[in-house]
Amino acid sequence: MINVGFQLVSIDASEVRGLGRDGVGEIPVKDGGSLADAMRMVNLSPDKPYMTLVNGDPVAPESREEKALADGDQIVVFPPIEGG
Amino acid sequence: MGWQGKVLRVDLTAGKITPEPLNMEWAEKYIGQRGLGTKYLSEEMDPSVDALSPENKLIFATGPLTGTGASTGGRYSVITKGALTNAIACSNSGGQFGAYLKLAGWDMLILEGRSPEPVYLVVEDDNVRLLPATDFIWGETVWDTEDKIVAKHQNPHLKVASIGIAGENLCRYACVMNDRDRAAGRSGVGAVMGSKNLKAIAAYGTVGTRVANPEAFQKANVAARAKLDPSEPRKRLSTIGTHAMLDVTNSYGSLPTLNCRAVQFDGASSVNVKAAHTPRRSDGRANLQTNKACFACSIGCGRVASIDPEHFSVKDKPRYQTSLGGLEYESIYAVGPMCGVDDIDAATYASALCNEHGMDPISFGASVAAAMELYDIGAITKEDTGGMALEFGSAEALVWASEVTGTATGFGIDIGLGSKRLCEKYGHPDLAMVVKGQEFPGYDPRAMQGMGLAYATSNRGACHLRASPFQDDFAHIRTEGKAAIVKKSQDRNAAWDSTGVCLFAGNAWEVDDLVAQLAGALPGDWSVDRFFDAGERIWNLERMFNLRAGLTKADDTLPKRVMEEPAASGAGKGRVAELDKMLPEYYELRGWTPDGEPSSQTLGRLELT
Repeated sequence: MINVGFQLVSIDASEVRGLGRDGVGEIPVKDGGSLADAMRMVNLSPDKPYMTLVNGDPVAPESREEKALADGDQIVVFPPIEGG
Repeated sequence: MGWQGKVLRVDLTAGKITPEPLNMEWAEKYIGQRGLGTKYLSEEMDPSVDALSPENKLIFATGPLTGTGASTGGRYSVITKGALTNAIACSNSGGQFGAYLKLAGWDMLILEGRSPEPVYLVVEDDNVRLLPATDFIWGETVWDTEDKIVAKHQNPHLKVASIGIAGENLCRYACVMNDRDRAAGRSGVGAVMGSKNLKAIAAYGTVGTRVANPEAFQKANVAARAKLDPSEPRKRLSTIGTHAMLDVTNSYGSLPTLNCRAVQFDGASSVNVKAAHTPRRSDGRANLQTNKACFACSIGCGRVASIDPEHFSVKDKPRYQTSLGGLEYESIYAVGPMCGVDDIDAATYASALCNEHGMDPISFGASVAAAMELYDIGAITKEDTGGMALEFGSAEALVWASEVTGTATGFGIDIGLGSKRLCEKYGHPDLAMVVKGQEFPGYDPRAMQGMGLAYATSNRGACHLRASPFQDDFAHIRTEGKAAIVKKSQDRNAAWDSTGVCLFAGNAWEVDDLVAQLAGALPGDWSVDRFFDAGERIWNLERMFNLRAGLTKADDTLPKRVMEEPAASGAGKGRVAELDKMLPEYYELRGWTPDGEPSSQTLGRLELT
């Protein structure tokens, strides 16, 4: 198992699992696990139009299943928000 | 049907008011509001005139869905040649005023000339009159102007659009304000109104609106509402508002900070949504009090805030120790991170003063940030400011700047020039973070390449609402594909802004949800293709206005800083805005020549010849 940091930004954390009420925490992921696996671990569907960063780099929705994680990676997820 | 079919022409020089029929041929092609207002402006005036001269015209235009009960259908736009940009200006506002103007029976007001004395206009159905503003509301703030007009006319239902002291004094980014804190905010439309000696327009209507096919309209409206109301974007905008963007851009590394010297802000947690929701020690209240909505809107993205009564900005000022318009993303970005200020109460105060005096908080904040950088490098001194240390991060300097700029006092007159003119005056034009003279909204184009193209090609100068490259920008730091995304969303937004409905409804709706409502409200056949055709026509009409005004391809650019100084951190670390890789493709997709001019074939296809 590896451990990755997880942070939700501007997303309601009440329905996620394994993170604090502020949407921040660390979760275990199986060796070789992907970003999509990590999202499922916290009850976020990788198919939803969230925006995702791993260690500050954007990962497009179509690449989440292939994006392999390493121990200590930091994941940030935010909604498909537009400005105004 | 949808349209009222009536335009009110007001010759301010002669004091003459003339109703006339709406040009229905134009309405069919340009829909209303932004598109139709631009068509009238383009046909009626020479775009090369001085924006602050009597020859410039000022148009208040509603859309065919304004006031109909369509979800979020309360919008109006102010269309003119911009005092900030010398380009086409079209600023869109919500609140109640636009709907009331439409309910009074008018699609559009066209204001011409310059009144010899300050005046205001009252529109109560067909009872329209120009009245003297001197010794009444001239010299008053936006808030006092609204209160005084309502009291004098003894009609609590009057809705007022006005300029503040900034507009009277021709602050280059003065707004037209309505309903206290809603703004037709960008490009200096309030300065144009001030140049015409027109202080305010008050509207109240009992005529109502009609739609062509009530059954189809109602069906489409109910379906669109059922889609919007339970949607995640609506819930998010209602609860945490646009303010939520600050954590997103800060995480991503696209939050313009310290006049774009940086792309992430160390003090973000002091001015973000969480900070706005956290009760403070002094009175146990949070900065954010509640939300509020515009006419017929179920989103309610508007913020109502309160400032800590013990904060230095409002101490001994009971006027500001009450509920005020709160922080939205663009305002907090500009008066917060862009200036390096991490004091949420100072930011809320500065934003409130922008509302009270009628200034665009984006351009104001970015102009203060430019002034702070000029001060930092020694180009501006305490001698210039009258003793104020205009340092990055200084909440005191921000509060002071909002007061002196709003009231056009001392160095505030220079800040009111806008970043471009300010930086030129003090010998450092490259420090102005502007496109076509208009300040950046809250997205740094080094991490958001599509936004860079959107800024550079926006007809009204740097703008985050003219195109919607957000989702692709937050997923891919690349230049490939951005031109098509920007072009398509520019056409979409141009048409959307012409309907009377808020762009935010588009966070939940597809275009066909809106087109179904248009099809119910208007005669004739409306389709998604016709909608996009109208949007492309409007975009090109705006472009032609700018070319006739003297703008060229050289104006489709970005500040040197973002094109030459790589981002120091975030997702775009090491990157610059690569406009040169996107602009040629964009011109080609638009059917423009390499010099950025619509080809004769394009003009013919869009019926613009």
